[in-house]
Amino acid sequence: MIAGGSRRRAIAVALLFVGPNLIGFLVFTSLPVAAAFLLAFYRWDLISAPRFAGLGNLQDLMADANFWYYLYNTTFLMLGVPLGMFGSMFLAIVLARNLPGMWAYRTAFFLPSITAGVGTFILWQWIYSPDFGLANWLIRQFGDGVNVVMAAIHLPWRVAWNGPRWLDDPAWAKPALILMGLWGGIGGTNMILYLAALRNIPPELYEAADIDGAGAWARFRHITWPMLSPTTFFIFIMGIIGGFQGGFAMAHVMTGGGPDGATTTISYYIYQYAYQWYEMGYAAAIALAMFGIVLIATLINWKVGERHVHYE
Amino acid sequence: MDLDQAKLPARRPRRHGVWNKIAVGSTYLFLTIVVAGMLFPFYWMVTTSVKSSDNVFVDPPQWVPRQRFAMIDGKRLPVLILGHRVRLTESGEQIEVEPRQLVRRGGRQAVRLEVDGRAVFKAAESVAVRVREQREIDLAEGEQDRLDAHWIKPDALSYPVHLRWDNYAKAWQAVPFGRAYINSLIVSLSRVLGVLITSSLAAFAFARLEWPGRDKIFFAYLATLMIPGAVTMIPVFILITKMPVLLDGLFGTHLFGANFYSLTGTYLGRPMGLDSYFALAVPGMFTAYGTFMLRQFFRTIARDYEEAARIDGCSTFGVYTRIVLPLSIPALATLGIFTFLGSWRGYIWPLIITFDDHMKTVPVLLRSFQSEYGTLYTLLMAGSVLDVIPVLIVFLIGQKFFMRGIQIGGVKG
Repeated sequence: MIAGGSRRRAIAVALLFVGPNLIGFLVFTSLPVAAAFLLAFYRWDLISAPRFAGLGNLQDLMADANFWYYLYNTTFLMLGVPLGMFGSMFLAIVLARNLPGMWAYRTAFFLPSITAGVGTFILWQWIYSPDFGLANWLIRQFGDGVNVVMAAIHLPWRVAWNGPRWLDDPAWAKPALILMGLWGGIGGTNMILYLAALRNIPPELYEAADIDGAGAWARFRHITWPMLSPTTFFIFIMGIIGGFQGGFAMAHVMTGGGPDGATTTISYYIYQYAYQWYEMGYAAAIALAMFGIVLIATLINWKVGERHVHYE
Repeated sequence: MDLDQAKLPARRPRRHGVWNKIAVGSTYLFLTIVVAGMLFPFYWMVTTSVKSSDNVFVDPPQWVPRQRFAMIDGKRLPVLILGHRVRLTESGEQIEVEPRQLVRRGGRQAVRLEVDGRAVFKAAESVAVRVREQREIDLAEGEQDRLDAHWIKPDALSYPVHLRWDNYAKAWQAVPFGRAYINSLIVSLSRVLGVLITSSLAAFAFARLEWPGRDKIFFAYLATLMIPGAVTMIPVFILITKMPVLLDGLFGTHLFGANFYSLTGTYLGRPMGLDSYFALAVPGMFTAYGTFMLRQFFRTIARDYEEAARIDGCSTFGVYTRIVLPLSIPALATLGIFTFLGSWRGYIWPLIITFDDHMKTVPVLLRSFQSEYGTLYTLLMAGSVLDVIPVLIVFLIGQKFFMRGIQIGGVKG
């Protein structure tokens, strides 16, 4: 390789280039990871001295009913991942036909995902307002329509649909958030990824299918889906990794974790312990548990994916 | 020849003519419906931001903002209806009712009364309306109720379409919005600068320089990409809170954790620690993301350029500045845009690291005033629009880079 003094020079030059980034990386990324592992074995409230707790945090965590409930919440919210994925795939397939003006639709579809944030969360709070929001207004209109039809065909049955209480109802809060997530996610980066992948499918495959008399469903099942599977795999894994960590901002802005903890996710729980109750050790333990779960889930995904993903 | 023709499998008839037109037409129809659904919330956001606050939580929702006006003391003022005095058609009796009790039944005015717990509708007509001037927020709590109420004739009331653009001014005043914008800008721009400089330098070292331990360290960079942000956030938070104390102890000063104020008395934050620009901008500069992406990109640049430059006596740093950087402008632009957007929209970190309203970034400020704005949802929507606009602008300008960036790195938007 590089010999002697020249090697030292090489190190010196490399240090100059890598240095700033490496220092920052050490201070703000890699050392904190090690610190988090250490922290999980202590109890510390930032003010008094840290107290060693051994495996106490972990034991408490395993016995913590809230933790398991919030883990359930987090996994439930991840239902949006496959739903959004299929939605994005569908939209991409429609947009891929490259009719004139498709770029305008593509940009319009992208807007909800790019603007997602506190502003849109507050907006959706209105949409989900039980008495005055758009969601229940639509449901009521639909009910009125049904009644009109019932009257027209001389049936005596009438409906009085008012819609659920959405964010006030523990049973509906999570589906409400999933729906909002779909609005924000369907036209976003996943759709763009699918569009790019669709463009790379050789048209000869479809022509061959045509010659063999394949219908639309067969074309999808035997050509489109397999050719998209690497992208699907990627999107799914990223979705799982992100899904376990997410749900904080929307819970904090829209529901405060409620009602009755129905929308509290693991990340929200960590926030509560670390920055509201200042229990740094326990919070670190939860965070590490989350990390472990993400790792395991990713590994499982990887194994399953390797078998089913079609590579050229 | 005839035999061969007979053996060919039947071709599925291609869509042509009318069928193709129908397919294309229904595609456009479907897409338009979906787009309408996707964009309607934005329409709602903007129209609500210019409504008067008594028209936000109403059933049915108000699609086009209207404002009631009345002539009071010779001036045409926006007003809020406090009540009606109606004359019952049957009995001629006059009673006072609340605004929501005056309805239309069968095309005529009526009042909704509760008799023995059931709703009863009686034909009536409004004789006088009790109103008061509506000013969204420049009065303190409680003062609004002390504004004089006036009785006016129903036909002195008009209800035209009206956009209250002054809601934006009110939202800006009620809350240090301007400062939050500046904060968000400072943080986002400095983070972009920091990321572009440090990541490109490091990426160059990983991609083009030979040095011992290079690949192992790069692998360590990659490994951290898997780690959830929540894990590193807690120790970094602790570090940030303890840093001023440590540095002050180290140098024997009292500077690092001190509060700084401008000449006019506005809070400027601390040099380090909570409520500091340092804490807001710096930790996010050093994720492995930018380094990884740029390193991959640099590796695609042909070595020929570098070799030719070195033959001409170019230094390593020269290669970096004169060859690699100019060729990487698209990748740098993409990274810059993503970093900017990620920083502007960041919520958790600014939330936990700031306590004073003057140091908060836009999303955090908006959220912390959710309870304060309370019934004034219109101002909250105005704030939301203000939060969304810079993102839209950056996205629309940098769209090309954005889309390409997603494909290069499979980046999450």
